Amino acid sequence: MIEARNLSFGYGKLRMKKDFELRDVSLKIEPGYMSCLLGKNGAGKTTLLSLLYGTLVPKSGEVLWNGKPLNGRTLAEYRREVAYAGEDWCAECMTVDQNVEMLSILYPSFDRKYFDELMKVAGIGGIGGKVYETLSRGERVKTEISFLLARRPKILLLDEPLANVDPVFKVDVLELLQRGVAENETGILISTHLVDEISDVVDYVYVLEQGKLTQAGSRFEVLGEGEKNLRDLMK
Amino acid sequence: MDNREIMERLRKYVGERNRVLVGWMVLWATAVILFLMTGRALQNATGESLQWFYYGLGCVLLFMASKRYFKKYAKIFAGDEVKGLDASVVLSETDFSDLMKTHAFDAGTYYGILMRRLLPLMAGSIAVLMVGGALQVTSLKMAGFAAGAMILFPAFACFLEWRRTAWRMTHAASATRILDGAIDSISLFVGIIAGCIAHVMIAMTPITYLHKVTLMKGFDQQVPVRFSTNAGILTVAFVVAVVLLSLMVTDLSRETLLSIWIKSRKWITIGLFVALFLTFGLLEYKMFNDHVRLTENDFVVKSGGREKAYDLNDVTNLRAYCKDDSLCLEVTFLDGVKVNVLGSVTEETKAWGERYYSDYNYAAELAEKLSERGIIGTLEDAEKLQKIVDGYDRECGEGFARMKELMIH
Repeated sequence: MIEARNLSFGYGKLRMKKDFELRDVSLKIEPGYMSCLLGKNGAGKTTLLSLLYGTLVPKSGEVLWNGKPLNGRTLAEYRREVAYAGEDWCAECMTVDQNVEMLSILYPSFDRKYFDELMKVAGIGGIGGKVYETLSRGERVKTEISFLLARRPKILLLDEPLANVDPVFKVDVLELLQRGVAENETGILISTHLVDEISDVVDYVYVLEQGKLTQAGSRFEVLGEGEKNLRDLMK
Repeated sequence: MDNREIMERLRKYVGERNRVLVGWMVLWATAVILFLMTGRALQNATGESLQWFYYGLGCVLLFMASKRYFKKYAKIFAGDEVKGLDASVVLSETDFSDLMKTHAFDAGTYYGILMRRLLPLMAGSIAVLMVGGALQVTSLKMAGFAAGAMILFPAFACFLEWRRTAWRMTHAASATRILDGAIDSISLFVGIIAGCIAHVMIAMTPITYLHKVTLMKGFDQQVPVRFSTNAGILTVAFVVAVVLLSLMVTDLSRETLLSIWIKSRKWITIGLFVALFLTFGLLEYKMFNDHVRLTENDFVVKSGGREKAYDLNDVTNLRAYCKDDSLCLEVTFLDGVKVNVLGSVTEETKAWGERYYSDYNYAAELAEKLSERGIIGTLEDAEKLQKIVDGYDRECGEGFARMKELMIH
């Protein structure tokens, strides 16, 4: 289980986002459940996911993995159990198969057969020989999620996987994620601003507004019976 | 499977994929050769010592070689699979610091493995330098300095690459980009400065040398010129090779790698340069280990790396003869060593050059000094030498006439 305790973070005075600050964010992500992080653009979703995955170091507060604080020494082990989907996850100049061959070295739990199966389910079974750079946005997202799920991680953090993806692809991606939760007991935290897309599949919802967690609870507690949109949540 | 095992498997995979990136080895070998050249206070044609220049250039090349070695295992290079794709579409390489920031990558363990794998090469290079020092190919002092650099620069490059990647794993990109860019810029800047200095030397050395030869041969043919293998000419060859090699190994664009023909050309060029280095290395070894240095009354003979000084009292015989239209002067010493003191591996001191107008005048004075000690030299090929001397000026003719008076012919 990942537990974030009072996480705060700022980008410093020299950065473009100098006005942005994440303040006192606390949350828990448990295996077997799908959670979502809702927020407008610039609310701090990517920053929070980066802090949870260890690609950024918090100014204060801490991230605990199974009760132990995350630090540089335990980062590699942590990342074998926790997966993160964002940009630049693989080498653009290599084919899908080559990327899988190389990156799977880092994850002893990677299941190649399962990966191939997920790729087929996602409808992209024949793209193994394609150079990654030449894939469409949808193919990239599905390849990445298939790879991450085939690692059989305990927790999967997804940064806006549904952005710029056509509706058919969105259905495929959500199916993949639901399979991951059902088959591997994977805990998923998915960041998005598209409430409608995920309101039927998530168990917990966190709402992030200008760097602060304003709402947290079960799907029904936060979204009601699905009648709320993001604008309502932000009010 | 522990971290070390995983990182070792990753290293093997990346190393196999990037096996064409061999430029670092050429730079490394060049650095070792330059370090071997540092100890003898080499002079270029203008008479300036080059040892610290070679040392500095060697350090720059060593740092660049080390960085390239670590980079070879810290990036994914475009392979043949991107051949035929639109060049604007496909990236040529992916940096590990970008690629691994979202993966279970242990930078400390990975770079530790890379550094350990470099240790045998570092130890071997240091051993070569020490053997070079012991055989007086270079001085022990400079070999020691070079050995220090052999440890310092690879370790420094490893530290930089490790910290850069580790930093990128837990921080946003900008800081590492600035750091990496600064280091690359500094090494490139120093490399360009070193290259410019080398180019100036390349331009100056042969011009000075040719000027000297042209002046003597072309405008003043009255004085014989003995071709002396000045270290400067070899210096030029080495520096030309170093600069061209540096240029060659930097030509690693994607287009270059994608072309089989260029790949072949690359290997052929590397082969030629290695052959060039070996040839000049052997020549230089010969030159610095078998030579004669002349002062007014002394001869310092270096043979097989061992140096021995003789004076006129050690001479037992003197023989003058003609070979390749040049005067040769064979001196036999008490211990049986025979040496042509006017051969192509002879160096004269500055005082020697100022005192003697030509080899003939030196030979005449030597014959006179020896005759005072009861040693009468022999002069062979007198008629042939006379014809040659007739083409020179009066002072040379006087020297040869004096030789004929003092020596048996």
